[in-house]
Amino acid sequence: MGTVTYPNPEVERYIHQYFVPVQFNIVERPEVMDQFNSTWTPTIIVQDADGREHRRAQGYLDPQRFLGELALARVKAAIDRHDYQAAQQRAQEALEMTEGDPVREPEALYWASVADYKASNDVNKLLHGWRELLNEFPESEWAKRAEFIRG
Amino acid sequence: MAGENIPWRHSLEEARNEARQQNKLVLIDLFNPN
Repeated sequence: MGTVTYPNPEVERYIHQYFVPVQFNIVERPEVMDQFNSTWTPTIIVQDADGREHRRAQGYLDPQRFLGELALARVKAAIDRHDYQAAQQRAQEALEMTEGDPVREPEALYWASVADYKASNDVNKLLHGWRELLNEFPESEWAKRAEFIRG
Repeated sequence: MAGENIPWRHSLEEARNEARQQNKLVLIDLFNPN
């Protein structure tokens, strides 16, 4: 992460814009592994200011995948605090930032549909988005989570 | 240190206070330098 992902200018810009970064060297501070309930590095955790966790990833991520993780974390944080209009905006950004990522683009579409539904209280928006998910990414984990709508 | 270009904080409380003031999220990185 330190040699490829963090030096990436887009990663640097996105972190600066939306996050306060805190880093722990687990050799110097081994107790943080228990503190954050982790057993493997790198571990990336996104929390809000009150310590509520919204996303976690373990293992190396290249810049594109890392940015996708951060974008999805912002979507999830907005949904978790019931700010669905912010979630809609962030989900559109996440869709752009995860484009071509076979793991995270379907997830972005899943949550974008949830945000559209929650913001409008119109279940058709959820169904419309999830049908798009089922059509575009039928083998994805996130399509499987929406597959029940087919009845 | 990993990511020299990123202004990493090393105190969780400091990071949370800044996040609260700036309406941002806290990004925590646990890393092994070896």
